[in-house]
Amino acid sequence: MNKPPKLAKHLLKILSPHEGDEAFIGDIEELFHDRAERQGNWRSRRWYWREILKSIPQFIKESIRWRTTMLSNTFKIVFRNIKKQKGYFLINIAGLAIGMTSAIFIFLWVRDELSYDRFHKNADRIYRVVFSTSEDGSPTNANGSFGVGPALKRDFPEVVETVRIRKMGQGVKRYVGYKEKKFYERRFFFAEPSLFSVFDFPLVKGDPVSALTEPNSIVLTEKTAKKYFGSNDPMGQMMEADPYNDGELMLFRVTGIAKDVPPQSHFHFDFLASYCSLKEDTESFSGFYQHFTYVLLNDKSSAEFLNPKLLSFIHRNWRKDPWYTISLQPLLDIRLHSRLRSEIEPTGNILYVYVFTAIALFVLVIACINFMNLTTARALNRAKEVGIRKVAGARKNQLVQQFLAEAFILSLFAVSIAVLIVFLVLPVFNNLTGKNIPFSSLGTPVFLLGTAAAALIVGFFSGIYPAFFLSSFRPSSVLKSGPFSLASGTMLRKGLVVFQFFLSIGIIFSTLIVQKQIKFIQSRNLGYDKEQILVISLNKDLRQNYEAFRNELLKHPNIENTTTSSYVPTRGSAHLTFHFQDNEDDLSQVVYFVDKEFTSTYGLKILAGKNIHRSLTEEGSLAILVSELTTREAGYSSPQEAVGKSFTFEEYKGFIAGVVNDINIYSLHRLPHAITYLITPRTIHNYLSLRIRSHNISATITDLQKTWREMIPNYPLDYFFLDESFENMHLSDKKMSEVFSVFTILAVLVACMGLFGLATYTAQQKTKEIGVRKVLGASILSIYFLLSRKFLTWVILASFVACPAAYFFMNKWLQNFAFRTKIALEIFLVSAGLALAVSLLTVSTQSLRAATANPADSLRYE
Amino acid sequence: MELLTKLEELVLIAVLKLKDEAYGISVYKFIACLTGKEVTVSSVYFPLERLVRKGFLMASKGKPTPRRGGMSKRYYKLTKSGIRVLQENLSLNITAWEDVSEMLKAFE
Repeated sequence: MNKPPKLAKHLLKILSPHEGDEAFIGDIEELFHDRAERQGNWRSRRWYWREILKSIPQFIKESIRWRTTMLSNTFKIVFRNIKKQKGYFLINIAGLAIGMTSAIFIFLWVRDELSYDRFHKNADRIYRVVFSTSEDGSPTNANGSFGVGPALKRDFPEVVETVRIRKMGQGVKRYVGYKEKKFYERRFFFAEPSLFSVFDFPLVKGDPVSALTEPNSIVLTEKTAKKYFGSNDPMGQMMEADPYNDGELMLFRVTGIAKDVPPQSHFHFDFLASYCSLKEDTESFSGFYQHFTYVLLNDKSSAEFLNPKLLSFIHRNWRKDPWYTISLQPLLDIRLHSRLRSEIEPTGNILYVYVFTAIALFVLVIACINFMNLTTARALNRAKEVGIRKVAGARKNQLVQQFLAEAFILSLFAVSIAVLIVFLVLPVFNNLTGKNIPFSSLGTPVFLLGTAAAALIVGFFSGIYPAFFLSSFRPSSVLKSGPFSLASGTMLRKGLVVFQFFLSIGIIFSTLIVQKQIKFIQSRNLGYDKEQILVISLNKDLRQNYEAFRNELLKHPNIENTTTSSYVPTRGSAHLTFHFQDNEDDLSQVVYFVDKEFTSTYGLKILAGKNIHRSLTEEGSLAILVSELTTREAGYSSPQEAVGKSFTFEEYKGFIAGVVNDINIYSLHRLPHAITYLITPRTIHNYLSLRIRSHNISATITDLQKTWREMIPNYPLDYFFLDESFENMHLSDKKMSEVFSVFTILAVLVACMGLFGLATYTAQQKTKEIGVRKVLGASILSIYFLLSRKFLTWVILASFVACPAAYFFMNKWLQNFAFRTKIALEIFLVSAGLALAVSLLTVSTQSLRAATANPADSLRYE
Repeated sequence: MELLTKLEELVLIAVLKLKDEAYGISVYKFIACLTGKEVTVSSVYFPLERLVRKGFLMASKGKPTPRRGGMSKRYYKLTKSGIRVLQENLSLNITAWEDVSEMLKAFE
């Protein structure tokens, strides 16, 4: 006998889920056999296939009709359940919504971090030339010397184009003026014309090719143009500026208006002056300046090929014994993977991306676990529903579908709430993280699809286990009268609660360490008195009148001392090489050009020798101060031995007059650097530092302003406090710590909500048991313990696992800092204790209520 | 009254005329014969089921045979409302088609 085609028959069976469809399959098969006898196998098979393919649209129509019927039924059941069990659903939905909210926020944050510099069309072919002063050649500086860029383009055909930019003043604002509008500006750059062809900084006005080719041309951003020119056309106007801060005003003609730099750029400019207006020798290889070089390669793989050749490139173009080497760093690595000195702007940290992603997942997982636990724990209430459905002919996978659909509906509901919360709280979040995420990013297709996908995934994971668990009940045992035990699943439930607390305790532990480290940094002795220093940018008038101004200030009772210097801690540095007596190597030193009051103003201790008085330009041998670290690097056994040793530096010769203690001029992520102090004329100094007494600071500043207006009337007063400046260096750590704390609270809150639900449920289940026990004489305390004990053992168990795991990860985070706080036992105890206390409080409310209830109420109906 | 589609009407007539022998294939063959067209089985099966859902037909299970791949037959019978809807449609049709043949002659 002929058989109908197997595949077609199988397809038919898949298509027809209803019982009546059996007759249809039979009918077709019968007709097939009739046909096979008349027409032969091949033609009848073809007929069979055709019949089935033609029936497909009908079947699809049918199944859609059925599904919508079932779905409306599921909706009805879900809403009835919500009405009946408001508390549980509130906990479930609130937990999921909080989890989703944190996940969405962190998603937005991470996406923002990952999108840095990607708006450049050539982003994957642009590299930054980074400099290394370390022995193993690993990059140390983002900034470097002038001449490297053009030489690279000359020597290597792979380098298509180079861009050099020079930032004026690291943290020192520079004077810019147009008619009466005079401001100090922070983001003043000189840039080569190729900036516009390599990077994507579009011009609104002006020609990108020629805007920066002429000397004394300048391009402004739209915002800056508005600030100086209002609604007038700035093109062709002349602006004055003092980019070198030496009092010699330079004139610039406005030749272009650029779009404002997007927030996701690793550097932001307000002014771009033409590179050829620079006063320095731009072919020189020696010395590091606030100068950055970018190259555009012909292919992204060329960097690998170029990097090994760069040392010989330095040899060829500069000298045989260079004190630095260079390498190429991908543009896209700058935001998250670069940990270099002298970045143009503070960078992010890939570690935070990982940590925040992990926390978002944890909070979400904890919320999913709540859902699973509460749903399975409540299985008893729904066992009868399942039994009746099964008796009425529901198949197991139909029930699974129903319960999954329930989970999806709830998670969709939670996601909608979460999106609403995100929408409302976004400004607060931006404030907390220091980001600028616009509302419009909530409307992008990626975001919408992503949240929809998240809702489905969360619904699936939190619903799949309860769905199988609930649908596996046997109707005969659930519908029978008498007690029904739910022994299966309790182990898993316990495990999940322990896991929840494992995550929450881990997060608490990490937060405590982060906070301890931040506090540690803030209280660390930096080697100078940052609390009492106020810093003012120097200008031409102030340099000329300095002595008079100083004398006037010193008359003030709250101003102890003043000094001027080329740099101040936290704001920039110059690296130069020194050759010390009895040492063969050139030593890279941070060089501070100061005056003789520097050590006393900053509270530096002179460990050996004495302070210096004579300037570099005066006759006689040059005396310098060095840091303790310098003496160690130069190989001297003690500070005392170092005093009197000679040195050479560029064309100068001299001796070490004294040794001072090491100070931290950078963030505490790094170890202190060796510093050399030289006295120079004030013309190359940038800052005036005042040491002030810490009481009544605002009055001191008012007096200072008055003196300033009298003596330096042409310039506005621009000052900052050194301790604030120091804190700004650790801003990203501080932000991270704040964000961390917020999410910790959320994680613990969600976990406690779950615990609360479970405790309520247990107390309800045991109402009768408690009633009987109390009738038989049990004390409130013993019942309280009966109810709370197991939750507490779970929490303790969890803390034993969580702390070592968190220890492991936090230790890694601390490696980021050169100065680390210790992870002491107390943190273990505090985080476990905190979790225990919070969970005890949560459980106690329910346990106590159950324990103090009057047995007459609970046993009345027996 | 409920209006039926032409196919539904034919299916109901087929079930009426086939008496106790009305199942998928017999209805299918009846309609194929009547129209002289190659219809598919599904185009008969889905209206049958739809009429069952509307309450005009009643279905009952027959015996499975090996020729049907072990699947049982599904027999259909008119319900009371099925009979009523058929009567209503009959009188509707008679009224509607009245004089049509006379009038069409005028065009020949």
